[in-house]
Amino acid sequence: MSALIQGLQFVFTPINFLFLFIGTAGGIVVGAIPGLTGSVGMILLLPFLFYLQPAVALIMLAGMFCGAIYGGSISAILISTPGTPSAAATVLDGYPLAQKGEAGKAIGVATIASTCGGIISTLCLIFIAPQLARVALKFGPEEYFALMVFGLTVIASVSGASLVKGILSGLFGLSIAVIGIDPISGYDRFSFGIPNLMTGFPMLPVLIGLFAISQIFIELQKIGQPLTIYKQKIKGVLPTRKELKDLFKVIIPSSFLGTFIGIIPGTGGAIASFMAYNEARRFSRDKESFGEGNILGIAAPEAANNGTTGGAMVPLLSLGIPGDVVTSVMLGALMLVGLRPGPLMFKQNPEIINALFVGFMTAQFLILALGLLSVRVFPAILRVPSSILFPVILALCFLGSFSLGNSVYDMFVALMFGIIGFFLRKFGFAMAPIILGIILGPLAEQNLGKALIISHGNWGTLFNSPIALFFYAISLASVSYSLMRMKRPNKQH
Amino acid sequence: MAKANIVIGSIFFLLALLMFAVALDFPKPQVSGLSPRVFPQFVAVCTMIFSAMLIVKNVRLLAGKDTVVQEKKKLDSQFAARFGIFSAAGVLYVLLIDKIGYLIATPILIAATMLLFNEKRWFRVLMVSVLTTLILYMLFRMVFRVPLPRNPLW
Repeated sequence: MSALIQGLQFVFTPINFLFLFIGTAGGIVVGAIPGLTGSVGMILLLPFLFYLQPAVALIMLAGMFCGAIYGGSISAILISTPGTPSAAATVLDGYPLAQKGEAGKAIGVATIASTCGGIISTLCLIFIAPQLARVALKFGPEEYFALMVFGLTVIASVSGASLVKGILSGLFGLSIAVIGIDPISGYDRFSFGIPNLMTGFPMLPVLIGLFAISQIFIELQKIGQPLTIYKQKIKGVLPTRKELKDLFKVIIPSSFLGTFIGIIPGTGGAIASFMAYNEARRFSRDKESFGEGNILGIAAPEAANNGTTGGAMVPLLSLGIPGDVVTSVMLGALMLVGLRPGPLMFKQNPEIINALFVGFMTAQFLILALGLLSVRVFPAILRVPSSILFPVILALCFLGSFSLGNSVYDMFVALMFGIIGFFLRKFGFAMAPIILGIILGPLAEQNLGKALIISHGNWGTLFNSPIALFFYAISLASVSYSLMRMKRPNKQH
Repeated sequence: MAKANIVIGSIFFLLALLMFAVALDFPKPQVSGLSPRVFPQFVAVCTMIFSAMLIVKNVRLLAGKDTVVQEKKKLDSQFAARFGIFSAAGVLYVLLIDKIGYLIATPILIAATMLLFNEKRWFRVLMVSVLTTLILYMLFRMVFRVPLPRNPLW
């Protein structure tokens, strides 16, 4: 109880609440604009976060994460273009309903469902994460190494269309991570005498380049394409009492489904939302109306995709391994602001964890308030021309890269990784595995090194612990599942 | 796409080969602990294996042994020109920012990028480039105290 009060006191300090508000509102805007995702939003936020307390930075990132997942539904409903991949299923019924002149109701339903999904997943996060962290506190280097191996197998799940390309992306990330001084032996690797390379590539410019600048290159390809605009007047946001009763029959199970899927590393909002949509349709008495503007077809995916937010935070916070693309970026962001998610955070910084829990919950209510009150503003967000948006983002990217180390070299790194990222994305290489490789690779190597030092070079020590064996087993299962999923065409799509 | 995959696969393979060769000069494995060469060489070998898989798969595609339709996603010349100008603008910005200062280099970069994005309204270009620069400057220089590059003459 005292932890809750401590968290409430922190979040509801006016200035901290303002940052949470900015994070959530910014997330909604970023999520709504096609071409920008929660990952890009978090990276654009990073240069500002260095000047905040770690706990404030964390709640702002949490607000951005939840807001962006919800924001994706706005463009999905209004212009049939999901702002984020997790809103793809919302298009199926959201857009037809908007075309019938009921965009207000569609957004209202999406807002209510997203809020409920978020609240349920936050409650699960609050109850599950500390228990898991308590178990993880007993881990030694062998278990941590196995855990990092498991984290790296998430690469298989976030690989996009091609597993081979995804693994190559991950290996590219691992290759970047080995540049610089080896933390165990102190030996200088692959710097070729260049002083800037001795500390390796700076993470912030690499993230900015791979996610944000590469996106600007991609947007350059779209010049000339007309901007899709929603012209109808938005009215009638709230569903009726009878509709609400029906909605909650779908929202609650979808929220739990989303939370459960979010906890499993390598899944994410897109899978959860399609699964929830299918389940809602399967149990509906009016299956035919799905795809033609059924509000249950909006509520199910939206409850599920916001349900994944709290779920995905469980492995991130308690074990230090990200559950999906956005939490991979979040892990990088948190490390840059001086936080290392994992079981030790629960022991060493309980005040930060309490602030996050309360901040995460508050973000859900902010989504409800912002979603319902600013519904008439949403079409205007979608009208921001790319000729203004992306040049401003570019300036922010360069400035953000410079600001951490006050170095023009960092700007060059961002540009270089922007160009590399563009080519990799253009030819089907996903960006998330690169980040996973960059972050988890060194952790895996360090824990392997520690385990070998403790065991006097006995490699067998890696397989002595039952927990480590458990992680190897689920790593194998995770990769096998990804291989099976790629061989079997996805019926949902 | 198949040709591009072969090219990218070959680049990955060659880089991994180079990485493996360079790592041969790192200290040899010690009796206990992890040698600095083990992890990079492991990554290099894995990269070689997977890039070889990518190359072989796409060579087979090109040879027409598989039935998958080849996608024709070539960079069109207009985009190639835009890509070149945008990259050059970025490189020039990074090279010149120390010499001409943030307050001059940034509006030029924003204006050039806006024009590249087909913005035709000059007033808008002027306003957005100048205002964005000033807002970012005030925020980072005055609030966050980031020592942004200054023009040496000022």
